[in-house]
Amino acid sequence: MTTPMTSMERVLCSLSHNEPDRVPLFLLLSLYGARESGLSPKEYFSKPDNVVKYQLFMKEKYRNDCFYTFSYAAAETEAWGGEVLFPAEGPPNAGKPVFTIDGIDRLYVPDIQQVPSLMRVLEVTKQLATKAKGEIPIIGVVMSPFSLPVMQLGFETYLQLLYFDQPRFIQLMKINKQFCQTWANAQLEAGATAICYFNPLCSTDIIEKSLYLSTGYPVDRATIAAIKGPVATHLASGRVVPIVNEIIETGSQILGVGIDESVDLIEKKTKGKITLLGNLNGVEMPNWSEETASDKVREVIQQAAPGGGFILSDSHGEIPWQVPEKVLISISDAVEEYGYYPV
Amino acid sequence: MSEDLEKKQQLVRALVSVDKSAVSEILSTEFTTKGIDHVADTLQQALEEIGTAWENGSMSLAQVYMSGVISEEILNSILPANYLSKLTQPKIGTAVFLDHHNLGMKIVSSLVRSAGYPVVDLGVGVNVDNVIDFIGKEEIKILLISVLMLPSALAVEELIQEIARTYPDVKIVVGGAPFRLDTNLSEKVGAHEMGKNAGEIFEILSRLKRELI
Ligand code: B12
Repeated sequence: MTTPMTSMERVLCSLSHNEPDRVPLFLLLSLYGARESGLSPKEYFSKPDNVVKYQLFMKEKYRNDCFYTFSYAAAETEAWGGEVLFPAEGPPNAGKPVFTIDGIDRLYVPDIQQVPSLMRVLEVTKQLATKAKGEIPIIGVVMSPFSLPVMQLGFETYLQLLYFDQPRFIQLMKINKQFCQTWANAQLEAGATAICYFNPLCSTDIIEKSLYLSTGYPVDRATIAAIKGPVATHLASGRVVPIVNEIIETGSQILGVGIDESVDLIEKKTKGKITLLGNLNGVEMPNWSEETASDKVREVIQQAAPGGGFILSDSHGEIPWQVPEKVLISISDAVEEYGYYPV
Repeated sequence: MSEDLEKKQQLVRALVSVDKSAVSEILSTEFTTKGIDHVADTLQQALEEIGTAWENGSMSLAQVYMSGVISEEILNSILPANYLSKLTQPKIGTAVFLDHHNLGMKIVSSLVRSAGYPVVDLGVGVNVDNVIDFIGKEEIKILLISVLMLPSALAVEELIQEIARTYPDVKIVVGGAPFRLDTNLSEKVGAHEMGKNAGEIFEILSRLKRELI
């Protein structure tokens, strides 16, 4: 009998479009650590030690193939003085927009060293890197420069900027690009293996392709090129097919896929060019029985796993608080049952 | 293609390319030749088509949003004064429950206003008590609720139970990403209707109006 691969070997093998021993499982457990710990999300994320402890715990409990250092998207807006709203049992959200369109003229690139929420993530990354010893991938997260303004300005104001104020849009992209690449590279230096680049705004669900290609796309290409490590582009469950070739051209090695398109179809379009990450429906998971969880895992593995180039995960990039732990355990059981190659 | 269908198609193209002057010209011509009811009808059909196109992936949310904003603006500029107050439509209330993400609600209310319904907005981040007060004070007949976060969507169940106790005749329509991504959720929380896209609101309102009569 051969020894099982480490999580890192498994993932690297899949990324090179070969079949590892079994399908890698990325349960993207961020907020879920708070639920496991019995602490409120606010308390949980306030101390790096909490996050490290429960990343280690959940890795074992759910037989996960990665550590996930993500705290919450709104942490990045704290860099511009933004407030974060912390519900008792759900994901933190950005408070009021942090600047107006006019404010873009006076905007600066914040120094991440001065932002406690980001420094905590770096501390978590450093500690996990010493535990992982190169055998477990550590996934860091950034918001793309093109998607971050939804929280910086508010969604409506951002759409107005995008359509009607090109000069200020360009100025904001300059600042966000600088911030994003610095933040991504700091996480890589702290020990992250790869960066998950959340960019739902590039989905044709949100912005039409022609507008995206003339606005956000050049920014995304340049930013991803400046990130000194592997990048996973994630559209947070937005549709990917219409722009999949453009995403591949950014140099992203992994693509997060949602539920509105069949993994089969995306597989055909991308075979050999990018690794797919997905696509169990996290919003439905709270209502899944153990049997449903198992069926869903089997189905997606059969569609997408043959030949490698596939990592099983959820469709959004974060397991919701409300998902019962028995569902997560059934998912990892099903990976053990159906995920060994040949699948 | 019939003349009406062609007009609708022209309008859809003008709306999604954010061409305000073309939209204004089409609607003004329709208004002078065929009257305001026809304008509202054409606009409603165009917006419905854009909403469905978003859901099946052929149009973007930005285009849906811009179409709503432009429609509302132009309709307001050509509507005869006090036109809306003469209509006998049920009063509609809108609220973003617990959440602070108002874009979905904003789009839906632009569409509903463009169809001539009186709409009152309670705002974002509201809780059960706020909604109950609001329904009473504003005499709301149909309540539209939007959420983006899953915990807010789940908490709608409690809100609906409270409304059913206090104002049993009020009709409740829910929408937003969690309801779209888990199509069983609206039934679970007890909503009367769920809109997967903003454009569906027209058909939903026609159905509910029949029930209210
Ligand atoms: C773009 C996006 C982002 C962007 C911007 C988000 C924002 N608005 O602030 C970024 C990257 C910043 C982001 C971050 C986060 N996100 Co996000 N994001 C999305 C995405 C892709 C689209 C959301 C959006 O704003 N759409 C625009 C609105 C207008 O669309 P909509 O609500 O669907 O509305 C349409 C219809 O549903 C309908 N409708 C809406 N309301 C109503 C009401 C009625 C009555 C009717 C008839 C119709 C109707 O009409 C609209 C137009 O047709 C969704 C996934 C998806 N595929 O939808 C996830 C999603 C909303 N995100 C989610 C989460 C969790 C988050 C975070 C909390 C993650 C984190 N832990 O930090 C943060 C929170 C950000 C914040 N504001 O603080 C989850 C929420 C569900 C959940 N699991 O709780 C989603 C659903 C992803 C998922 N599949 O789980 N996100």
